[in-house]
Formats: sequence, structure tokens, C-alpha cells
Amino acid sequence: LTILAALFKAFARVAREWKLQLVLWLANLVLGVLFLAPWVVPVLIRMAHRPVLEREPVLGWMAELGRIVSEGRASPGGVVLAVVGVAILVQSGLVGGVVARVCAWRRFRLADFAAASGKMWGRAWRIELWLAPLLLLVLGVAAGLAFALHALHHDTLFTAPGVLWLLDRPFTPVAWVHLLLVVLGVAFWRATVVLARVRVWTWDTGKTRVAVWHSLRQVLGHPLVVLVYFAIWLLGLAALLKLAAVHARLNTPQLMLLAATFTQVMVWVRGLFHVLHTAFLAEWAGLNETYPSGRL
Amino acid sequence: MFFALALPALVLSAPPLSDRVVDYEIEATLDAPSKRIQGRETVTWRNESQEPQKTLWFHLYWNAFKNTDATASREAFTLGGYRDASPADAKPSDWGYSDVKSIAVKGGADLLPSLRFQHPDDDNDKDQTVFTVELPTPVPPGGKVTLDIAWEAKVPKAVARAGYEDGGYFLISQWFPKLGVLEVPPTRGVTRPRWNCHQYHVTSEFYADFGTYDVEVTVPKELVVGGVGERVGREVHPDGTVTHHFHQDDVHDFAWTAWKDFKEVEDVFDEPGVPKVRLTALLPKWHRDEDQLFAALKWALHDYGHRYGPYPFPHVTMVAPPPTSMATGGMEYLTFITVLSRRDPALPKDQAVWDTVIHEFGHNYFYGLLASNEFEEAWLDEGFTTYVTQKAMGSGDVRLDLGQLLPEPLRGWLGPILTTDLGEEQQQLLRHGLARWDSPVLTESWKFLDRDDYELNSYQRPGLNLTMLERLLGPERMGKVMRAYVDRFRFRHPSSADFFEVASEVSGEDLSGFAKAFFKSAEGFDMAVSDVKCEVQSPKSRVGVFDLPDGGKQTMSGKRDAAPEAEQVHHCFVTVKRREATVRPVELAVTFDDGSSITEHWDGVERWHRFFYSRKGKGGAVKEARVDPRAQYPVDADPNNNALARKGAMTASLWTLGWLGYVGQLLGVAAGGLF
Repeated sequence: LTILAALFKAFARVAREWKLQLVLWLANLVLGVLFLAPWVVPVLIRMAHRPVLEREPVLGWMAELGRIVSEGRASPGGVVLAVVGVAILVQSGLVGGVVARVCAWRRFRLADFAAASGKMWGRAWRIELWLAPLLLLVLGVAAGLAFALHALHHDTLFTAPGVLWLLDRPFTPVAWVHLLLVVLGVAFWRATVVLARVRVWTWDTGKTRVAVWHSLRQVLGHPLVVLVYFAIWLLGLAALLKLAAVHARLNTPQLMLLAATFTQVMVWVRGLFHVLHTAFLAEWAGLNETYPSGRL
Repeated sequence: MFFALALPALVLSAPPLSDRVVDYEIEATLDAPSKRIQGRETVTWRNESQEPQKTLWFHLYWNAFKNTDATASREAFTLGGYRDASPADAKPSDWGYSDVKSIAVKGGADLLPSLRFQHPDDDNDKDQTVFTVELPTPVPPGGKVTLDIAWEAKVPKAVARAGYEDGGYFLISQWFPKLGVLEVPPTRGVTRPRWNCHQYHVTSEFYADFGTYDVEVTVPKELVVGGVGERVGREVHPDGTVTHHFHQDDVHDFAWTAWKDFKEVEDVFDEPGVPKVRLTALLPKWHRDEDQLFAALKWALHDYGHRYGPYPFPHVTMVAPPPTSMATGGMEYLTFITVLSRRDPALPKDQAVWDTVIHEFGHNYFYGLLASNEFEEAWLDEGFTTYVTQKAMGSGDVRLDLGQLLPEPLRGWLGPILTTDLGEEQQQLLRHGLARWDSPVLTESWKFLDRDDYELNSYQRPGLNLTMLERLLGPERMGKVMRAYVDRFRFRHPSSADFFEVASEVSGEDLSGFAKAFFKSAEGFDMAVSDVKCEVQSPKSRVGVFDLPDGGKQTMSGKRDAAPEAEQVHHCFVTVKRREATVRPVELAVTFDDGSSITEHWDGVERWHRFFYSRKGKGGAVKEARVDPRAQYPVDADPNNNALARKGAMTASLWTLGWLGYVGQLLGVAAGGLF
């Protein structure tokens, strides 16, 4: 019942936190622009006076991008790495603000959001580091299981040869079970990370190790929470895939503006689910408030 | 029983379609567990030349897989591996070979002492893929000789076209001692008889004379078997084996397959006005795409039949190897092709399935009926088949959707995101887009720089060259050229020169320049518009110092555009450049602001040329210039530099940048998922 209540409260919280989602969207927009920036000049030099491209299918333009890369005018690898790096830094900065908002009852103020983000930045990283062994354990078990099954002539999605993906059916019952175990393992790790952030914020403590340990025991004791967390993630993924499928149809120049707008909808939905994850665990933690023994 | 006996009689009584230079009667037994074949064959060869022949040349292809001394193994290192593996990865059981145990003139001399391995293509005296024997008495012109040969073979692991795969699958091809081709004038331009018998190369395929094949293969009874031609008998033995008897006239090779997990499905191609063709598909028994395999094959029979003449054989077998043995997929023999099959094919037309069926069956015309020399002129089979596949896929409206390539259930979720709708020609252009070759198309297949160079020059480039020829001649004339080429060289050995001769004759154009530029040269082709510039002049905009009639000077200065638009003169120029070495005449379309346009003709000899225009009045400026406006040269290395607008044409730039922004935002979302 507390899980159900937490879920309802989380939905209500998400509905209220539109300003928080606006901040997340803007942050993502910055990343998009960052990725775009190195391409602008090469693309304009290469394409701006080429009417032949306007008569080409969109993939022709993609081929033209390939030509820009092959001529060394832009390096996608470098740009991708840079954006991913910045995205990680930005997101690690924002998580504190998100946690603070889903736990707060005051109106949204950008200054409060920034202060919470700053305060939580180092702590969020420390939580990640404390729980990195758990992730490694989950991945190690997944890999070990995959190799063991492979030795027993049962391929998983991680050991199925490429040709099987093209010609046969890699999603065998064994592969499904393995995938489910892997995803649930990762969901368990993620739920622990987010709950630890919530604990660190609500307890206002710098002792991340204690919060991590407490969260780990709490999540272990309530596997249903992991399942709901996983279900929310699955729902978010399904929503994004459906939206991406619609976006893929907007592939003509005439629909360019619509496509760009639709991209923002997708980003917004992703942000919405990010807040929903955190809000769910925050509400659940609030309804199951416990304190570790000893001083914080 | 009646049918089993009557069918060969009917087949044998059919009038010959080919010269039937060589006939084989083969009996072979496969020991599946040890992967060994014991074989006996009787070969009857007719000397078509005007000179007596004392030496006979044979292929012994499987010795290419015998050890690392074989030329093919060495080439696998230098050219880039077999189709599916490298010799360095081989386990002891992977190697294969053929040993001739006895060879003798029927009822006469033993030829084994005279057997010598030959290496006509390189200096590798350890290669054992070609051998000769010396006859005690030369075969006179028009005479025949019959040899009895016994051999033993170990089936190699399937890395290139033939072999076995774990799970008991066998594709047995290039497997018996096989005569080379005695080329007789005027075949392929030879001036006197010569044996054409090349070693097994890692990139090349094959070449043989037409004849009759009567083959009996004995295998364990649980194996499902298919082979070239008609199955005319099947006899079960008490020892748990079965002998399958195949017979086919007027073909030039025999391949067969065996696997316990095949399901065998039958269908018939029955279309008014053309002979019926019985169809057999052998595919993994858990696959469900036999309907699409048959639909694709029927479409190929229909399309090729209309374009290049009805298929002359009564039966075709399609083999879909298990997914783990793609090295044996995508091969072609007359009446027998290996294709690609999917467990869950995309509907309604799975492009990957249709493409391989239509392509491999296309080889039944180009290499099958027109038995070109794949060793020396690989483009005559692969380039032509690439071109005709494109035509058949286009007329069948089979288009590429990348989403189709995903397995279920991902196809349902991710397929719509990856959805594309590309016709065969667009795919060809995209594949060609960034490609660079290092050799002429007309290069012997083992002499290309590497596997990529071979594939580019054998498949995509000549395929696109033929598309280009079609655009230059027009579809109707090209259709006539193709039909004349097929009709004239059906059941013969055409060469590249033969094709260009037919093409020139039928089209009424001298195509020697075209052949030289695009088939005999490694140079690229790229025409570009590099400048479109205009300036406005009017009587009032003339500035500077001018001579007056009375000998004086007048200095004029002022606003350049002061005159009304109607009095303004637009002085424009367009610069076209030839950016690669290949010289071809091209058209240049120049469009003006008022919508009018003119077409210029440039011979392309100089590296660049500038066209000037002066037009009075509004709309007199050049809006855009486009070289090769009818896209007659799809081989253009960079088609996007073919057109230039005076003012920016921003749609493509904006769309591309918008798409990049989208990718960036998604990257941000993905990376953010870590937190």
C-alpha cells in the first residue's frame, strides 16, 4: 500500500514540477547545441549553396555528413565523447536539484535549485562511487551467467553471433530470462543510488556511506520497490520509443520544424520520467522514514 | 516407378542447348561423420579446336583448403581473408583437400604418372589446385577422349563457398576433378587454342565448359539432399544410406547439399507464354519464409524471362544454408542457388531475402547461360547481376527498410525508428558514394589490391557503370543491347569486348571511349560547378576613367545600382571543373532568376571552363548552375558538387543541422540516464 501511495504521490509531484522539467529541458537543449556547434561551419560550407541536395532523399544528406567526416572537417567521435562527458557533468549537477525539488514543499526557485545542486554534486558522485562495486557485481554476474549459458549451448543476447540477429531469433526463452535478470539487477542498483541521494538530502548529511548502506538494506528488504521502479523505467522507455517512431516519420524538409518541436517533446517526456523515478523513491522513503542507528 | 524411369528418358531426349563439350558421370559417397568423400568419375571431353591436344588441364579446387602453402591461403593474408574466416583461425579438422587416386584413359593408359601440379597464375609451386595429365595419344580435332578418375576428398570447413558446418550441414561444390576450358578461336578473342585453367583464388569464382552431368551421391539416409538439375532417382540401401541420382544437360558445374535439418518445399512457376519451371526450396526447418523465397524466385523468373529470354531449364533448387554457414550462402550454379533465409521474415517483402534470391538467380543468366570467365572478368557476372538485380528489384517494388533487418520483437519496437524507404538504385548510389577504387574493372580477379577493391570493381562499380550506360543510351536502347547480348552469347563464353561490340552495334554509338573511361581505367570521375557569380552593370554604374571621342578623359563615379532594374545588365559567369582524370563530355544547365534556362555542352577535356552570360533586365542573373543535369553519370564521385546556387540553398543545411541537434539531445538523454 505504501508503494501504491508513493506512486500516486509521485505522479502528483511530477504534475506540479513543470518548472523543474523546464530546467531539465533547457539543460538538454544546451547539450544539443554543444553537439551541433562543431558541425555548423563545415555543414554550411559544404551544403549551403548546393541545391542538388534538396532533391536528394534525407539519407543522401547523411551521406554528405559522412563525406564531411571523411574529409576531416569534423570528428564525430570527439564531439560525441565531449557531449557525453559534459552531459554526465551536467546531469550529476542536476540530480541534487531534482532530489531537493521532489522532497520540497516550497515553490520552485532557481536559486534554491542551484544551491541544492551545488550542495549535492560531490555527494552524488560519492554515492555513485560507493555503489560502483554493486554495479560491477551485477554486470559480473550477468556476464558470468551469459558465458555459462553459452558453454551449455544456450546463447543470450550478449553471446548470440551477429548472423543470428539478422537471420534467426536471438530472443529465445533463455535469452529473455537472462535479459530480465540483467535489467532487474541494474534496476536494483539504480534504485539504491536514487534512494541514497534522497536519504543524503533528507538527512542533510555528508556521510554518504551510511546513506548508501541504509538504502541498500532497505531496497533489499523491499524487492517490490525495485519492480515498480523497473516498471516506471519500462513505461518511460516505451513512451520514448513510440515518440521516436513518430519522429522518424517527420523526415522531409517540409516537416523540419515539426520534427524539431517533436524532439523537444521527447526530451520533455524523458525528463518527466526522470523526475517520476526520483519522486517515487522519495515519496516511498518518506512513507518509510527510518534512521540508521548511531550518529549521522 | 514409371516417373522415375520416364523422366530421365524425357530429359535425355531434349535437343541440346549447348555444345556439350564435356560430360561427367560421377558417383560419390559421403561419409558424414569423417567428412570424407570417395568419388569416381568418367569424363568425356571433345576437342573443339583445330589442333590435336595431348595435355589436359584439370582443377582440383579443394586443395586450396589443404594448407597455408596454397595460393588461396597466401592470398587470404594479402587480400583480406576468405568470405568468412582466415586460414590462421583454422583448426586441424577444418582443412580440406582432394587426392586423385587414379586417372586413366577409359580402357587404356594410366595417366597418373604424368600428373603434374601447375601454377599458371603465380610462382607458387606448392599450390595443388590445378594439374595436368599427358595423353599417350593426342585427341585429334573434333575427337573425343574418355577418362576414368578416382579421387578421395576431405570436406573443408565452410569458409568460402563449399564445405561443412557444425551440425552436419554440407554444401559440396567445386568438389570433383574438373576440366578447364580449352578456349578456341574466336572465343574471348583468342587467336589459337589455349587452356584456360586458373588456380583457386581467394577472390575469384569459376569458369567451365557446358556439358551433361549425371551424378549419383550416396549419403546417410537422414540427410535431405538437393543438387543441380533434376533428381531422377533415389535408392535406399540396407546399410542406412541413400543414393540420390541427379541429371542435367547443358550446365557447366554440379553442386549439391545435404543436411538433416532441411525442410524441402515445392512450388511451380507457371506463367502464360513461358515454360513451367518446378521450384524446390531447402531451408532450415524452423524458418518460415518459404513463401517469400518462392515469391522472389517467381518474380525473378518473370522479370528476367521478359527482359532476357525465358529460363530454359525445367527446375530450380534454392538452398538456404543454416545461419551459421553464411560462407556457403549467396552462390550460384545453373539450376541451383544458395540464398539467404530468415526465421521471421519481414512482411510483405523482406528486402534481404528478395535481394539474395533475385541476385543469385540473376547469375543463372550472367555466368550461367552466359558462361563468362569469372577468374578473368568478374564484372561480367557480378556487375551484370548487380545491374539486373537492381532492375528486377525496382520493377518488383522491393525497397530497403533498415527496420526490417532487426529481429523480432525488436522490429516492432525499433523498426519504425529506423524506417527507410530506399529503392535499389538509391542504395547503389549510397554504397558507391564514398567508395574509392584502386584498379580498373577489367582486372583479373586475383590481381586487385585487396578484397574491397575486388568487390567494388566487380559488383558496385560495373553495376553502376551499366546503369550509367542505360541513362546515356536510354532504357529502350539499353534493353535492346542487353537482349542482343544475351541472345547472341547464350550457352557461350562471352568476353567484355564481346559485350561492348554488341552494345556499340545495337545502340549505334561508338562506346569505346565509354569502355576505356569506366572499365579500363582506375581513374575517378567528378565534374563540379565551382563558381556562380554575377554583378550588375548599367550606364549609370560605370565608374572609372573613360576615353572620350574627342580624345579627352572622363572620370565617372557613383552608385553602381542607380539605374532602374529594366536597364540593368547582369554579367555572370559559371565555372565548371573536372576534378578527376576521367574525361567525358557533360551538359551544364544554367537557370536564371526569371526561370529561363539554357543547356551548355562541355567536352570536359580541359581541367576547367568558364561560361559567361550578360542579360539585361530583371531576372537576368544566373540563379543556379548544374553540371550533368540529367544525372547521366551516377558514378560521379561527388554528385553534391554538381550544382551551385548563387544565393544560399539552405534547406539541406538546416535539416542536417536540425538532425544533428536531435542526435545531440538524444545523446544528452542517454548520458543523463546514467544519473
